[in-house]
Amino acid sequence: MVAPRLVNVVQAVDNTFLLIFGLSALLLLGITVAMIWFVIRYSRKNNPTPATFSGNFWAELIWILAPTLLVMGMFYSGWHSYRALRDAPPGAMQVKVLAHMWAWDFEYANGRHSPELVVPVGVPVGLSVTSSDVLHGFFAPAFRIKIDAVPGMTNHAWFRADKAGEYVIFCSVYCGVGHAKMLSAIKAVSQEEFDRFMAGKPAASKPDGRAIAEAQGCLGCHSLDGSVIVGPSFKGLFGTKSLAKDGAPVDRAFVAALLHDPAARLGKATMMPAYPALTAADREALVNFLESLGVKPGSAGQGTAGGGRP
Amino acid sequence: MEHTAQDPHERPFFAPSGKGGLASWIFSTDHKRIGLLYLGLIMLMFSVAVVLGLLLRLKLMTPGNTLLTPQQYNAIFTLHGVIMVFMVVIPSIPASFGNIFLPLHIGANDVSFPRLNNFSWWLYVTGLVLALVSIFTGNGPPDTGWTFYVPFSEHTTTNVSIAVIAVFVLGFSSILTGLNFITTVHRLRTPGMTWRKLPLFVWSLYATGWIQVLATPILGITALLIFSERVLHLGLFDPGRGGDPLLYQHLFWIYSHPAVYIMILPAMGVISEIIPVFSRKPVFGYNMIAFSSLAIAFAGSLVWAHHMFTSGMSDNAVLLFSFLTFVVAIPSAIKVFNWLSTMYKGSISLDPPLLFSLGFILMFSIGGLTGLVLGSAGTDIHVHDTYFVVAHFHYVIFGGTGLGMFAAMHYWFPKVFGRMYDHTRAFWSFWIILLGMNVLYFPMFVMGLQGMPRRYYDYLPQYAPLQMVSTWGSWILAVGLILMFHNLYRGCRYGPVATKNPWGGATLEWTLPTPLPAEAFYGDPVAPEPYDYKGVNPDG
Repeated sequence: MVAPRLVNVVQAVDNTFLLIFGLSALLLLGITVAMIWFVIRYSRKNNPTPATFSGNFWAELIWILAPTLLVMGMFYSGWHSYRALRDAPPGAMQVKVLAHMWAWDFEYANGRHSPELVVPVGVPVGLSVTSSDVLHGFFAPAFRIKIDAVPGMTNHAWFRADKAGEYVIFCSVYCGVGHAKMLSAIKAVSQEEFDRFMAGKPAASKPDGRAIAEAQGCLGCHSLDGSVIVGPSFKGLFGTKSLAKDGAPVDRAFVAALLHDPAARLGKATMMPAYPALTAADREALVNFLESLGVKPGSAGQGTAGGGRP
Repeated sequence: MEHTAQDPHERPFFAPSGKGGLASWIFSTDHKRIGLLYLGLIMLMFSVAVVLGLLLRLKLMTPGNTLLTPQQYNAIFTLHGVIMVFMVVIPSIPASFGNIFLPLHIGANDVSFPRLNNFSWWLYVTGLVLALVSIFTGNGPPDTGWTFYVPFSEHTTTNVSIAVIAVFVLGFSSILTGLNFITTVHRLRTPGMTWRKLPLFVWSLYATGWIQVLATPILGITALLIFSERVLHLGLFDPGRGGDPLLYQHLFWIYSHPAVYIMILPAMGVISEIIPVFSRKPVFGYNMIAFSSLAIAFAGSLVWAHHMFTSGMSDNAVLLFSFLTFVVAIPSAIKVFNWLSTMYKGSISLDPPLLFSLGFILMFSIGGLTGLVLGSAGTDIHVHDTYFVVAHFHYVIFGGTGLGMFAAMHYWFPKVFGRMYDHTRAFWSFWIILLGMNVLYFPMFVMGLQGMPRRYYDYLPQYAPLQMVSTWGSWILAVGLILMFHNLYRGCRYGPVATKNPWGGATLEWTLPTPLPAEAFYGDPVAPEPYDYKGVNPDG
């Protein structure tokens, strides 16, 4: 017997869907059939003399009571399934979720960071979701959960993957040019595999500039092929004159200052968010990556603009 | 003829008296001319926004980076929403047909404040111009979505500042129209026109007027606050300055949820007029329909936070707003049942206005019933911010208000223009539009349930087949719309001359000459029973 706390949340939500869709289909069918039937049966040809009544107490009472009862039933069912979505079982594994333009960062209790949410099968996972720039939304359709990532605020959700597999994570709240590419995945794996994952070194121990640029969402605005998405393309950018008010060249110091506070370094308003949490090693790798694209532009034709993430 | 043509009780309101020319229109204080001015501009903006919508659908036909860049896509869906919501749907029926027929329905020769009415139109034009300016100046058109959610709208470098000022100005146009209508209904009813003799169209506009007057100022404040945030960096909404993004969402939806009732109530009023006329039977449950308009206006003002179930607000708030949302569904259901009961045992003639009205009932029912999925807390979490929501509001607003507007156009067309359109073409255009809408929007329900988030310029391959079908639907819809507008245009220019009362309506406008004269009533007309068809018959 499963403890009541561990009700199948997906099932509870889907039951509400079925209840509302079922009743709605019946109502819609009734309305449509009545409309068509009346148009035919009471057409001017079939019924040249109309009735003259303009109301009926009992009918009108039913028009009020029937929808009231129906919607109150739906309300109750919806609230019930909402409770299931909200009440995380005690002892759930906690993961911190940081959303930023346009990528996800998942931080585990042991300090491990990952761009994908790896979880063990059958274990309830509690999420503490926030954002470092604008609104985003954590949406995992397979588990019927969705919660906004709001800067300055931590929101909570939980889920439990009962089957191993890979489940898509969407960003559900519009967040700018990279919104449609702000995808990640929940990877539900066996406990052993999960333990290996947790013991593994953080992904950024051997910083790969290109991977960082992708994970941090840089490529949502800065292409690698010379095309302009929002900001200037990374291709051939390093060493050229920047868009800053003072016209400084794009060099190591400039990129470092830009990542710390873009608006201050540029001296004007910009869409670019700050990346103060980037480690020195990551920043170094990113600059190296930029430099590799800048020095020999001809050799930098790898990859496509913006997209390309699976 | 020349002699009587100068009599304002005979001369069509659109025929020139004296100088004529453009100035006699744009500075006119005649409610009929102002209504027609609104109708023209609203239809122009509707066409623009439809083209933008078709462009979005064309881009979405296939996945990948095709046709539009992400930034262009974001700007276009923002413009589609801003134009449709603030410049088309909110003014739609009240500003056009409301302006023309509300005074006539109550036996008045104009609204209470005719000059204010003209000023409202000018504010509308000013809003349009400002919106145009925001597209072509600064760092490009706004890319925030019509909701202008913070903090994104504060940080984006696109021209949000001017766009929100446009919204502010458009809001005042709406407030002044609402104020004018409320005052007119209170003060200018012909003797004997008691509240229980008001046509239901007037009741719906009266309820709408109160929402316009009470809720729209919040929109104005919110628009100004965004402007201040961007320009003065006040720190109300930006967490980086100690502000709260959820505060913005509350302020925005305190207006923008009631706004959907500004959009739908007048259409319900139109349907409540058309169904009894074409059923030749008194409207069923007059009191309930009138009261449900007020109930929707009141309860609809208390449900705004159902747009925020995933925002992180407290669970208690979710409980309350979910409950109130289901409550507001009840008066809408009552209206639908009453319309059906009106048809029951009537003597129904399926003319184009009724056909569009029945289309309204079908599409509004689908939109309303799927709204229950969104009102229910547990299911909303899954479908919030997905295509399900997009489908839901397009069913309600386009299938509902849009078809209601088209029904009104086909119903009052002969009275306004003095000519009749071709009925066969009207039938065809209706069925093509209905088919197009359903092929366009129904797949979005399915994609939404499958998790397809809204405002994505690209999508996973699993959604490709339904996205393709939806785009086909947009083409069918476009064909239907072109056919309908072409038919109306032809009717307006070359159609057979219309009679005084082609449908057999019992409300006061049908006692007036066709086309409507510049000066409607000689004295105070006798208040009729608006739904008593004894002795009132369709001409011919």
